[in-house]
Amino acid sequence: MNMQTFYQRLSVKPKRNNQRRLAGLTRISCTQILNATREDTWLLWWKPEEVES
Amino acid sequence: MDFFTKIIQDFSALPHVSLWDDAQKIFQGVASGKPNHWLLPTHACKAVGGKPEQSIFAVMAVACAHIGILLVDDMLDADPRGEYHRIGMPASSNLACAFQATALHAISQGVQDQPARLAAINSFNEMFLSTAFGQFLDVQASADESAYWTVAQTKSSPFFGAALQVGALAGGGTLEVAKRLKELGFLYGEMIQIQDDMHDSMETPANPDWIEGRAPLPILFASLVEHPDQERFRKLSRKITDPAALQEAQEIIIHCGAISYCTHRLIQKHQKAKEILSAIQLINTTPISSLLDEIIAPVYKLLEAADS
Repeated sequence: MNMQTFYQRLSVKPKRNNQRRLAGLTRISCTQILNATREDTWLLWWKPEEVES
Repeated sequence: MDFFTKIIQDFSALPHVSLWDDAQKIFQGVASGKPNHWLLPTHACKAVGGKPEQSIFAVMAVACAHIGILLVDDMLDADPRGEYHRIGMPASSNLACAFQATALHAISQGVQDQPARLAAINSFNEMFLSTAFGQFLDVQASADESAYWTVAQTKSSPFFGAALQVGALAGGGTLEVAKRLKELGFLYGEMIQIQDDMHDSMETPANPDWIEGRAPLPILFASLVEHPDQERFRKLSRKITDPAALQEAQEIIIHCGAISYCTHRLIQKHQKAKEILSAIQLINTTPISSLLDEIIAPVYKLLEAADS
């Protein structure tokens, strides 16, 4: 399922439980997403200040 | 002595590297952050019944590969944190070559069994080539969803696939089991990429991806999918350094279903990875299933937040 199809299915009243839960994610906040996801992305340097020491 | 201390020591003692201050300084700097990804080979090694110490050389190889990739990626992304600001682009490119060569050196010294050594070296070579191509594609910016997945599968996934494959070979796993763990690692890498994208698109101030025109999955969704706020979102994206525009754009990302879509994709990939795992003959599945559980945990955290 691509993005457009997913959007269309999400837009109609979701029948299945997992679709309803996914639809619930359209009402969360930026902060909740930031808190739930990783901060240390794999293409970031770790503790760059220690490189200088 | 922990793994990170041990590989810092081993790295510093390598031929040429022992005389190369910048190489040592960079390695020590990144190692001091104890990146979790460096230990992926140890998980695979334990899963096939090997002892953790058997994976030391594979951890070293993954560490060197990672640093080589970072050095190049930062130059391509014009990342303000990049080492090239300190040592210059020519020296940074040269170091990236050295780190790639060191990764291959670690494998060739560490794997005793001839077919396993060849498979491990091939795995890393393929990974380096694919990642370089993926980095090239990434700076062109994805025009559509298919281009996005091509970048994710060439730039991010091969690193994680190779890490698990070489770890399995280090632990004495068969070539077939190592290959299956590589497949699983690819999915794991895609999951890491989607999570990174979700995080990046919600950061304040605007993540460089917005400004450089690269499109993490949520931004791509909000730009390309036909929804009532699509035009508004595109307009806001053009002035994204304005904090008010960023906040509104991020709210549109959430409301239009982009985060729901990322979550849906994460759950799909997690299920597929679990299926692969259940079909692999491992001595101990826990080290790998714990990796998968760890990466899906934030998704359930988000769903719970939405439920409450």
